[in-house]
Amino acid sequence: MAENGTEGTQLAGARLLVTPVNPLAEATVALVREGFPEDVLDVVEHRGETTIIVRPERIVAIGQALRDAPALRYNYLADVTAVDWPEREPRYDVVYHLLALETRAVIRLKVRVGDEDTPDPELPSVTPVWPAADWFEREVYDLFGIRFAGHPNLTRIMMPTDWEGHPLRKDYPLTGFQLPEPHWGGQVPLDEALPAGTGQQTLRTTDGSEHPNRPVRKGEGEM
Amino acid sequence: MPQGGDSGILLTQVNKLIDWGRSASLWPATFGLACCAIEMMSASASRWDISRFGAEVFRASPRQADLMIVAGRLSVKMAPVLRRIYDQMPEPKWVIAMGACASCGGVFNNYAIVQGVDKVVPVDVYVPGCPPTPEMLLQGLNLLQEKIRKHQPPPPDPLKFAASRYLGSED
Repeated sequence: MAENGTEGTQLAGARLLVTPVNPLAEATVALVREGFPEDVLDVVEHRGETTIIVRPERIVAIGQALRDAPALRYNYLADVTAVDWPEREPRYDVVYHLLALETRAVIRLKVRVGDEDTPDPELPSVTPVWPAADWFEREVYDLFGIRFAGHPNLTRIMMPTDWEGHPLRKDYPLTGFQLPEPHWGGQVPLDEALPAGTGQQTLRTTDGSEHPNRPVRKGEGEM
Repeated sequence: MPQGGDSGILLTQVNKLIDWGRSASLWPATFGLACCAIEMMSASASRWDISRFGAEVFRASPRQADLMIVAGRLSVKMAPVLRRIYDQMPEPKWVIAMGACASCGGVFNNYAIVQGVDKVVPVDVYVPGCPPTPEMLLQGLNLLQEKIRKHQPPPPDPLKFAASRYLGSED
């Protein structure tokens, strides 16, 4: 039994549920590096989870290679999501979680897109490789504004179809904006002095400056 | 036939009977949106048994219901659907806003959640809680029954006010 820190205790010999380490992670990384040598930007391994950071243009080809590789067969796309890092350029990380059903291997692919010149970045869609990507990519488009080329139906999926703006971007205020009456939505201002749209509850701004509404903590003094 | 405003003793008693009948047989149309729906289900199950109070069946069709219990947070995308279901209910109809989210937006003070369903439908009884216990919902139902029997005036329809603003008349 593999060592898991329980020797000498009552649980010695038991199989504990720990974060599953993908035994095929190294093989996966090797396959990607071998097939796409200039497209792998980085490989990160943290607490048993492996992430491969690749170039955006090659994500479809890499996805297809991973899906069709006879030993690996990552045939299950578990999730496509995005992260907004407003102070960083490129701004968004689009994250793909892949799972191989027969071998239970898991791997994460990341792609970095978006900068000053392309506020609405575009990236190829992986729906030809995994049809499950359809709704995941619609969600990323709806909430972040990242477009997917070749997507069969890139429309909003969570927000109402006539919504303006992409809510999960860090510079989209939690309050939303004053919406026309048929929406019946929008936030009640927390403090009467703050009209809707200015009571921003995310503390980050795109250029890294201090947000004017950021509360000053005790002991901070003049910043 | 009695003249004037007073209906006379006989009709008063008939009205009282009708009010009792309405209040004692409120059939809810469920609008279980989120977590409050679980507590609503508990209230209709055997331990707290909402049918003791007349809510014998939860009608799936709004056309056969007279009470709408809005249980859960209402998102901006769902608001027109709520209004449509409310409009499909025949008169007389009442609305209970169950839970904090239905009453005032609850913990979700953001762009996606309507801050209280009374922006969309007229609400008769607000039941606070996150979620309210089934007993609280039953008390809300009892309050509504008293309201019906005492002939208390119905709340104004929020959309009629909104429409008047929309059409340009100043407040």
